[in-house]
Amino acid sequence: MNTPFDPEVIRTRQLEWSRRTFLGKSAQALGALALGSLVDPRLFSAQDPTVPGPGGRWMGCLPSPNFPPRAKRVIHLYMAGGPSHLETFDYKPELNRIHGQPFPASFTNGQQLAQLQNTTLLARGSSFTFSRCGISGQMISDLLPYTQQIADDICIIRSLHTEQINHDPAHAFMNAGSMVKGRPSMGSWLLYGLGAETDNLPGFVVLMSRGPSGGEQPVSARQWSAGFLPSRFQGVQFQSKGVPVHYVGNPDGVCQSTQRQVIDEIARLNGFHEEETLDPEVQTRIAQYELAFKMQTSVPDLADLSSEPESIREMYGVKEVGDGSFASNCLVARRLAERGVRFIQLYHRGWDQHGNLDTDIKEVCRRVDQASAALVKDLKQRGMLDDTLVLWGGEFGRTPMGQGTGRDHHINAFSAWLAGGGIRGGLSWGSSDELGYRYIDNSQQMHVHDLHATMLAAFGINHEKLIYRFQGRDFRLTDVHGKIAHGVFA
Amino acid sequence: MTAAGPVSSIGAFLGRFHPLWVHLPIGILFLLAFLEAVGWAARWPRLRWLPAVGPGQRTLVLLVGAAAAVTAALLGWLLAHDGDYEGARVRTHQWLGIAAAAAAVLVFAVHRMRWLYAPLFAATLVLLVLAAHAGGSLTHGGGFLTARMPPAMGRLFGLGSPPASTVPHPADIGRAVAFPDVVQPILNDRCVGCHGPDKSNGGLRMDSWGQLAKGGKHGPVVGAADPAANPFVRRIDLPTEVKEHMPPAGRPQLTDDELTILEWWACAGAPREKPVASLDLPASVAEAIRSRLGGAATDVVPDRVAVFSNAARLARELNILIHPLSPDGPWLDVNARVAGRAFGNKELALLSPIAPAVQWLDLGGTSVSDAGLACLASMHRLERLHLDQCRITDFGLGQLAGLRAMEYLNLRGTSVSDRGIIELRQLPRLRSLYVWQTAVTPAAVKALGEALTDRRRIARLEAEQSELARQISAEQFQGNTGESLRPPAPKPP
Repeated sequence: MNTPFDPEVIRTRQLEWSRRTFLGKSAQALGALALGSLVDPRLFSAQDPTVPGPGGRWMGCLPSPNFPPRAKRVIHLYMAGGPSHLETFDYKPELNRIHGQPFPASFTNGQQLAQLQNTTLLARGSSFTFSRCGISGQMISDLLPYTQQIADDICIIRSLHTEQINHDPAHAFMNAGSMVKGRPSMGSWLLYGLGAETDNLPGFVVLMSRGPSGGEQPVSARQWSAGFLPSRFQGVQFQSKGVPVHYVGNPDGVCQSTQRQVIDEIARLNGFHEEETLDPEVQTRIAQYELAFKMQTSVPDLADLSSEPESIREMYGVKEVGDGSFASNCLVARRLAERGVRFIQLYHRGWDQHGNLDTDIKEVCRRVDQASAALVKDLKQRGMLDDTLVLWGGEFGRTPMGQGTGRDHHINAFSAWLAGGGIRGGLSWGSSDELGYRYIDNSQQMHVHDLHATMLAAFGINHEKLIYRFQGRDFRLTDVHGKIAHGVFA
Repeated sequence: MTAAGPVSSIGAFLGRFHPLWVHLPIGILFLLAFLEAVGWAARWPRLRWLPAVGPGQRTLVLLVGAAAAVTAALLGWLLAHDGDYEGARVRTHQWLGIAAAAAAVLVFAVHRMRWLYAPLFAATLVLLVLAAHAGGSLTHGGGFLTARMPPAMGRLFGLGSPPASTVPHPADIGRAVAFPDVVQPILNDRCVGCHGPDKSNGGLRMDSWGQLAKGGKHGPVVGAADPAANPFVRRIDLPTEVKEHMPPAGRPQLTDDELTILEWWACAGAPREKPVASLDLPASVAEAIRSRLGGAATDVVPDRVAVFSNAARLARELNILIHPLSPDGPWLDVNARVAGRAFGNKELALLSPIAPAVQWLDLGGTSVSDAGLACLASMHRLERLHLDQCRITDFGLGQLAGLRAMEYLNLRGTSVSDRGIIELRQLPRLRSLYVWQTAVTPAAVKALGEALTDRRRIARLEAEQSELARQISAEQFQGNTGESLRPPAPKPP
């Protein structure tokens, strides 16, 4: 195969160059060569017999898994804004008991606070009741009646903790393991490591929905960026209202065969440019044109929810298909998963209750609860839950101290749940202290890095082995941290 | 000998330092030997620059070495008396150790007599080596040192070639006899190292039926009427982290098959001379015995390089995805779903070169039909199979009966019915079955579940559970997990 990175091609071309061009471009060429070897590592490391995919598609940089894999795809139900763990999954009777009293200073002295700095800290109990659910008896808030029904399928983590206390850097930390810009998000890492099972759709798709008030914190597109990885691994945001991708159809008078000719011609021209610059981003562009062409047929098929029976729509609570609601997004997420998309991220904005906690969280739970549970049930009845890892959680939690009628941002303990993908259902993993302030520091504590390491482990990836060298340094999703929580797997 | 049950005492506690302490006299005395050798070499004019050991230094080092050796012997005596060590090998180690310690003291006593010192010291070192080797064999099991020796080197030292595998010749499961053919080989592999003629921890020997039936110093091990009270089963069943678990953590553990066999055997009243065929075997046990006795084809690991090169070619030609499933084995995840209806029986048949390596196979949404499923017969390792939305009927399910490794089967949206489903009771490892959007009734699924369930095992686990619950409520439950849930008390101002 004569790819532009074929050493033979490069050598011939280098001989053709004039001395000046050679000197001018050699540094650039060497850099690109190094990068190119990362884009397709099999080119230079042929000693390990790996299995290349058909049609030159990206099959991932890992020749074989580090452990036996369990999961094949992720659906991340991203509760943006910081859901209160104290109202959802972390039952704290002791906090209810001291409601309204000064919060013990021994907890908070010298600790980082967001908006509660220099104010009197008063404990705020939860206004909602909790129940023991399922055979496992996990404690789940009565705000989430549908999630209560899947208690035996989910593993609730109550010892999560993060390092960033404001939304944007905390989102970055949850997605990329670092608040620094330019780091790849976990979906990009997974795509880089494993490739996707489809080449008709992007391997990493993002959908967004929001609460009723309209005043929610924005989520920046850098949260699904590929960072320093080649940009073909970047997340692609679909529209959750109306058609998922705008202008995907052909204009009047253009048929698919004409379109095919146009794409082929553009690819040929881009190929010239690539030969000249040896820039892997040109390859990304060629690949994206090809993907876009395939999406002209795959996206209408994806968006055609008429094939979904009424009972399924009811189960998710979809009022109108493509209405931009979280429920509609969950249904689309299942369809994306069926079509081989590797990483699907559904953001739901609307969990940032600094005030009006009791009324607003009721509303946001109502919007999210039924569809989240329906997604798990639907995956299960299709036999897809065995290899689909579902993560439900936000970027941080909320303070056990009240902030007027709400709660402030809180990073020392928050809750999330995992389901499917080899996760042990009905398990409660880790805990926070009796006031829900700080995680209990034992073998079940779960830093965001540990969550990342564990999620990669579900795919058979050792997080210490999934590495990309950039600007002279080896980077990992978990940087120099991360411990796999083996206990969450069945 | 102490009475039953561990007794904590200062002696027993100190005894446990023996394995640590023994390195001290060995290190000291061998270092002295090395220094003496260096000093001896200094007699040659060219090596005159080498340092020699001074008389005062020799006295001091020998004193320390002899003291350490005596202490080690004492600690060893304490350890042996504390408990679990019995058998010929313990005696050998004991006498060699005492001899070595005595020799070290003797060397110290006579070291000023040059003519006696050198040979006596050499003899001490030999005794030390022998005692240390005997001790090592106690800890790691006899033959540990030479187990991995290349055969050529073994012949050089006059050792016989390593004993052939203790698994009997692939016997017909019908003719195998319960204890000698099935159970004893497992005990030989996993237990006899510590419960045998050389070393019999807890006074228990498992190297023959007679010895096993006698039991250990805590009483009989097998044959108890109530399986839950059977210490043999209880201890192999405990989680590895628990101290009482057998084999001890760090030693080679029982495989799943071996565990299944031993549990069944002990709970079935420890049958001895009965042929296996005459016993009522649950499917999982029969399967485990069959694979333990040499299930032939399922145990052959295909060559990774050959499998991968075939896989690469097939993935290209058939436009499907094939991923490796393990870091070093040849096992494959074959995803034909991506090819859709274009993938049919003809294409499935082309997978035969990689069939023995296929562990996961996704045929969902392809045009594979009943006739094509015959090709799956050679996929002995198949664990996950998706047939959802394929043209499969009950007839096709009959073809799956030989896939004994199968754990996951997805039949959603196919034309299977109750009659076909019950055929799946032949699959001993089946854990997940998906029959949504088929004609299968809940009653049939329930019946299959019953057929696949090992009732006896569940009864035993339940009995164990209630026993544990009883113990927990009997002891006053402390609820102490080692973590303080309360914040530290505020400091007084």
